Amino acid sequence: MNSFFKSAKLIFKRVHKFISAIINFVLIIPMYFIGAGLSRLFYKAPEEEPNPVSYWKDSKLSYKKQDFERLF
Amino acid sequence: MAKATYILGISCYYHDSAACIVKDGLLLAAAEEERFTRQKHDNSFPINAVKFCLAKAGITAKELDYVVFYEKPLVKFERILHTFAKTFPKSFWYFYKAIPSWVNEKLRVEKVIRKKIKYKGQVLFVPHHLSHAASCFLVSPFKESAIITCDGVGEWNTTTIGYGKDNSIRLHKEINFPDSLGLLYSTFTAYLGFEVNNDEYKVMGLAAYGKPNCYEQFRQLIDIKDDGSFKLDIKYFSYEHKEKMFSKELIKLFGEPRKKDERVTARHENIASTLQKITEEAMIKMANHAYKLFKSDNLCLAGGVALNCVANGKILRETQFKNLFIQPAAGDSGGAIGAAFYAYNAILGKKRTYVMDDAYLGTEFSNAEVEEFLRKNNVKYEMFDDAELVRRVAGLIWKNKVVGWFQGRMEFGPRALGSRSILANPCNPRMKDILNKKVKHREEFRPFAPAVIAEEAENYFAMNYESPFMLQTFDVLKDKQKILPSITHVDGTARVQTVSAKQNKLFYSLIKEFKKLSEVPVIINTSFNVRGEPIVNTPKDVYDCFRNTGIDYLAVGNCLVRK
Repeated sequence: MNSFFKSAKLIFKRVHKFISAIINFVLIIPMYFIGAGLSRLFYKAPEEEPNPVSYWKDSKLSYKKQDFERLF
Repeated sequence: MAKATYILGISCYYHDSAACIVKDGLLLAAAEEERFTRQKHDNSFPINAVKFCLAKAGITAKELDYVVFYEKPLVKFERILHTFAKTFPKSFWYFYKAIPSWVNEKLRVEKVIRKKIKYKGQVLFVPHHLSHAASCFLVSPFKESAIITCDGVGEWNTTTIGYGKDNSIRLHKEINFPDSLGLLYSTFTAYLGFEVNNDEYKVMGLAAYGKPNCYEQFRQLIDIKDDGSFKLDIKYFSYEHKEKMFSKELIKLFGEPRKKDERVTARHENIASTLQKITEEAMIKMANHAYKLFKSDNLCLAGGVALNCVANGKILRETQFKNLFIQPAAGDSGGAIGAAFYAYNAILGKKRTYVMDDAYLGTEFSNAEVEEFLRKNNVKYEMFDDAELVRRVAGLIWKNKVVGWFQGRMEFGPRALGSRSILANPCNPRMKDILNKKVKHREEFRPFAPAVIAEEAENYFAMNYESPFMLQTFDVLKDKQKILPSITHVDGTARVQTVSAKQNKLFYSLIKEFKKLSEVPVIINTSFNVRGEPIVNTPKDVYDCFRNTGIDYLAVGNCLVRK
């Protein structure tokens, strides 16, 4: 009985993995080509000063308490 | 009596996941997940480390006041999406591999935390480099200090300069992805046939054998300004759109990369040496700039690049800073500490009361637990009190035996500092080979590190301050190099750990006892693990490692086991 459940669990895991891979593939391809492709069309590289004196940028980090409550 | 404030810090999902717990501003426990799962640099959610921290504090997740995550997941995701778009369509496979983990787990980190640890309170998110900055400054002995953080990449930042005073930190300057000193180092780690995020210290060891004669080639890759800021020419790198770090352009410039098991040649040594020199140049210039900005005598360093002990040693010697503090887990695992302390000291505005004097924050096992394990496994052992144990172990080391040393609480961070260590005689010129043959199976070019009694360190090494976390190299004094052949690297330096009685009484007594026999207050201290595995955590891990390697004796708690 125990080995039956083990085999069933293994088969379920493999089927789950296979279906996930198909879903990922079907979703990810359009997501990439539409999302990243369109973004690339409108992407403009930031203008950079040729040979600047320094590459340091001023930090714009916020230190308000509510900013630490967010994921961004 | 007022209720205590408990804060759980978590870092995960890149490499070296970890958790820590802070009670009223005191660090009670911290551990990396890899020690529990036995997967080196494990990046999964640190559920075992969290459970250990809660158990050590004697609380459940319900009693936590805050859980703090060490970065901002959405900002990091924005950088990743931006990079995918920028490198379209080359980034497809990278996108295909990365997106499922982001959608399933990384973007839902708040839910994952709540579900996995059954927590309903507030979750805070501290930016990656602010966590790094807090992980060193807020646990340092300094009231005020300049701070430099430098690693591969956090959200966007790869390098920052900031300033800390009392319980506040401000990051003033930043350099952003893809310009990264950490990723430059990792790129050449891959180019030289080693593993990224694992073997950078091998490149550092290899550097001492070469000559820095590839400077002109490196100048094409990186432009370093006088203020330590830098920019990479990204055409030589492919880490924006591939897992592979370097492009064909880099191969054109430097020649064929070394394959994993290929012999190391002088060309590889010279590339490593130049890379190390470039890293040191950038770090020293950066430190000088930080000094100019803040005029502080103190410097705190954090981030993966702060584990470069050769560069660290030079920063203090070659800049105007008088004091340097680097926390033992300077890499991403230490981010958990930074996040927790930032929440307590800066967000809640509480005074700083804790200084990180030692790294003994991990698991521990009582003699009863050790004996129970040994008895269950029919292992013969002898039991001694502390004084007799150190006398016997010192005698064994002096007789050139290799001894496994498992005592007290496990260290937090990548270095074994006398709790989970393999110990040997530094006076034997063959000991490096013996250790490699019996246990470590390391590359020939990698040195072993010494642990020295703090008050005698300056008699053997060119140093006048303590180095308790083994994060700096110092010259071995010329007349002592012959006495300590097994810990002196080819360039005459050593990665020194100073040991004081206050930090680790038993380990200190052992070295003292060794001195009585050898007249040298130094022993070899290398991590208790075999190549490719994390440092041992439990008596079972210890015994497995002991049984499967050539370690001669094992001192586990007060029990001495002979092979």
